[in-house]
Amino acid sequence: MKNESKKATRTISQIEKGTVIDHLNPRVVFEVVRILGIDDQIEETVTVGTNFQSKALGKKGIIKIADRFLTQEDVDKLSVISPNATVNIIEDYEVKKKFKVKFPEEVKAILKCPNPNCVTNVEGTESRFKLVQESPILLFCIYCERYMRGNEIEIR
Amino acid sequence: MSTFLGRSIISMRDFTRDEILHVLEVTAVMDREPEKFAGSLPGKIFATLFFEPSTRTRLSFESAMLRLGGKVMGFADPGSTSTKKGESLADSIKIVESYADLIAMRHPVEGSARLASEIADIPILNAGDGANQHPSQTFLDLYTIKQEKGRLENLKVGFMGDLKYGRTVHSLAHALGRFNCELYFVSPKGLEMPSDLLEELAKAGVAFREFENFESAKGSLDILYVTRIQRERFGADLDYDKVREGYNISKSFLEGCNPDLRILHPLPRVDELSEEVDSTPYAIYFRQAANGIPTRMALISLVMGAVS
Repeated sequence: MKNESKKATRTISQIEKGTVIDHLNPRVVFEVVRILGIDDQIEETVTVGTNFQSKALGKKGIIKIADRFLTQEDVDKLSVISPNATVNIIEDYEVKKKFKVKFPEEVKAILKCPNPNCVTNVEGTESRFKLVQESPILLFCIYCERYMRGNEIEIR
Repeated sequence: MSTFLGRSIISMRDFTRDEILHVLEVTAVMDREPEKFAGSLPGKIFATLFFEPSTRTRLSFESAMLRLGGKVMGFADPGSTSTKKGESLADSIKIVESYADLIAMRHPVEGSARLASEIADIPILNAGDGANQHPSQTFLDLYTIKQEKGRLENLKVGFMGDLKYGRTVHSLAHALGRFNCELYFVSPKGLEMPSDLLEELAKAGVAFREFENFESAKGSLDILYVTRIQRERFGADLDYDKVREGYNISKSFLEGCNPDLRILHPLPRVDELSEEVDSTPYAIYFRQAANGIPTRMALISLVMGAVS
């Protein structure tokens, strides 16, 4: 772990077991909180930090969730919203596994199609996009068959 | 090639090159000997759900089913349906699928046919979903071209008119790209081919060019696909009357063109295609419209398992 990152993670309390999501785009930290279903009903200990200094990103956000490991769906959602994020799995205060999120081949339900006349918007049904290209990001709506670029990505 | 039995016909993107050719072969058989298939779907019920009016497509689907010995029911206009009362598309489809064996659906919303096919256990034939796809039209366009030229490969195909919103143009261009055709596009400013689609063609290695007009290319064109420039697409910034002047195919256009040129049009036409062209050997658009019957007979027969 780099020094600046160590400092940032030390600022918020350490967890014995659970997940640390690091290198989040600070603009979407609270969006990630929302899509992970972290609300006032949650039982686990959660720490949310944002605007930490980061050499690579300028500024970054961190979310620590005690006693919870992300599902594949959580990771997929995270990768769409913050493609630079890293996920650390913590056991006994140690990082047991660390990985950078990867954009999923198919994105279900979480994105809004930019085409207002797409059936997913008109009928309010689940959206589905296929990943055509990762960089720059290009998605394809399997319903209206329009392409969506990175700047058009909007979470539902 | 996967079987067509039970399959929905939603988008040309769902079909491989071999599958497209197979549909055209079955269409040719239906075209040659329609009487052989007259009783092939007895007792089968075909629902035609037209949430947006389209007389030609609906009648041609219904005629195709009647010729196969099946029965038809449906509506031509959503005015009298539960959709007007706020029923979801999903509910409408669930109800109708319990009444019928097969559904053809035209709907103004893009992606509605795909959604319907996910809901229904019976096949859905997309008869047009907004500006997106109209696959039976594309199959009949391809069949007409193959019938005239004896092949789909290596043709020079021009597209003229509203190329931005014209879904028939998009899916035909996409399909012809798989047959190594060279594509030429001519359209008024503001109604050009969508850049996403051009990028997709380029990625697939399809050769295409955009022209101001067809004067320099008409000597070598094999096929010219003309579409209507729709008045409703023009805002205050574009003068419909001025724009359409340059987009008219008349007898004078035909001077100097490839003598084997064939002109297609999905119809209805307004004045982009003069009636004086109708009696020339170049005009094949009425035959193209008639090909809707064997094409739709073929699609219905394939998904219902009357042919394989």
